[in-house]
Amino acid sequence: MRKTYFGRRNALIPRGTALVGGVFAVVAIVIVILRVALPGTLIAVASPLWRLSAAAEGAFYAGSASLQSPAKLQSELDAANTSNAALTDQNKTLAAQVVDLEKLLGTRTDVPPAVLASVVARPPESPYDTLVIDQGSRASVAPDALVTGPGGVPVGKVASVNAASARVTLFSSPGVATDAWIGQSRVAATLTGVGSGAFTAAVPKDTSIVVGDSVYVADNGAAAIGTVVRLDSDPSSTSMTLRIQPLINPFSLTWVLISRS
Amino acid sequence: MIRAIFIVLAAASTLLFSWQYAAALIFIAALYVPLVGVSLGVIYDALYYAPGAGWPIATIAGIIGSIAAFFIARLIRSRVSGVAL
Repeated sequence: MRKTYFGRRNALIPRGTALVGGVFAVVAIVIVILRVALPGTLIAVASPLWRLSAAAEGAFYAGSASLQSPAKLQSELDAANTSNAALTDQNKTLAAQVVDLEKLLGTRTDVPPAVLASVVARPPESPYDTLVIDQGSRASVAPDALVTGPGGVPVGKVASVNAASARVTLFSSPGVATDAWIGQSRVAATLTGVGSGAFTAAVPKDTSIVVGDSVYVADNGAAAIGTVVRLDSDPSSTSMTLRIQPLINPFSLTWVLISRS
Repeated sequence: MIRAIFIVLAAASTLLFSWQYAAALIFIAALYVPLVGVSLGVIYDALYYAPGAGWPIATIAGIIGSIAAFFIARLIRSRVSGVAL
């Protein structure tokens, strides 16, 4: 039988392009549904690839170390060996203390005040200054819990929680406002996140803040969060803008503590 | 072949690369298939967006980038000979 109908071809969008675009659109819709209905599943599926990315990054930096001069590498090795010997001695002392304290108190321990979590995804993969961590409601992680990095430095708050994972919004996330104190005189200010771990704050010109002053947020007292690195002042304005550098680089965060509140 | 490589790289970049490289790769992929830009923008937000993090920038950038890529690709196809976009 003679064919009397021919499919019309779209001159703007070729068939192959439409097909590939359609497949991507369907995948995007499925992923959005997963995010809404089963958010933990999406993170569980993506986690191995995030870990692969972090491992590849580590291998790249390790490989680039071989390009440094042998003398510099040797001096770094010597310093590491010295530090290792000191830490070994300290470890022996601490182990002896543990044995003595266990004799004195027994082995009963209290519930730890915080949950240790591994960071699965961090900036710059994430454009929002958010973290994805591998502990969730099963480990008593709750929304709005404070998240701290190494040294107890506050880094952000839990934004959403799944069974085995959670998302953390960093204080430096663009537009996020955090109450803080600045400098020795504890000048009150509101920090505004500008991304990549950095903050800005507007304060009156007549304050005694100088470059190098520490910035604190409320966390069981005042916890240092960053350092003032620049003061931007406009002659026509009564206030000045502080540029604040974080104490912790969010790009290299690997472990965080989530407070049990 | 080049089209397939860029599209696969753009898709992988949402999980493996920093957002700056991902944005560049997604825009290049969107020159070949405009819908890839919107789709990967939405996927980016599904992966990383957290409540309280402001606007869903990746989705918005994906829509704007896809529209721009569509017109740029059309311009290149009509003005530059020998380019297979």
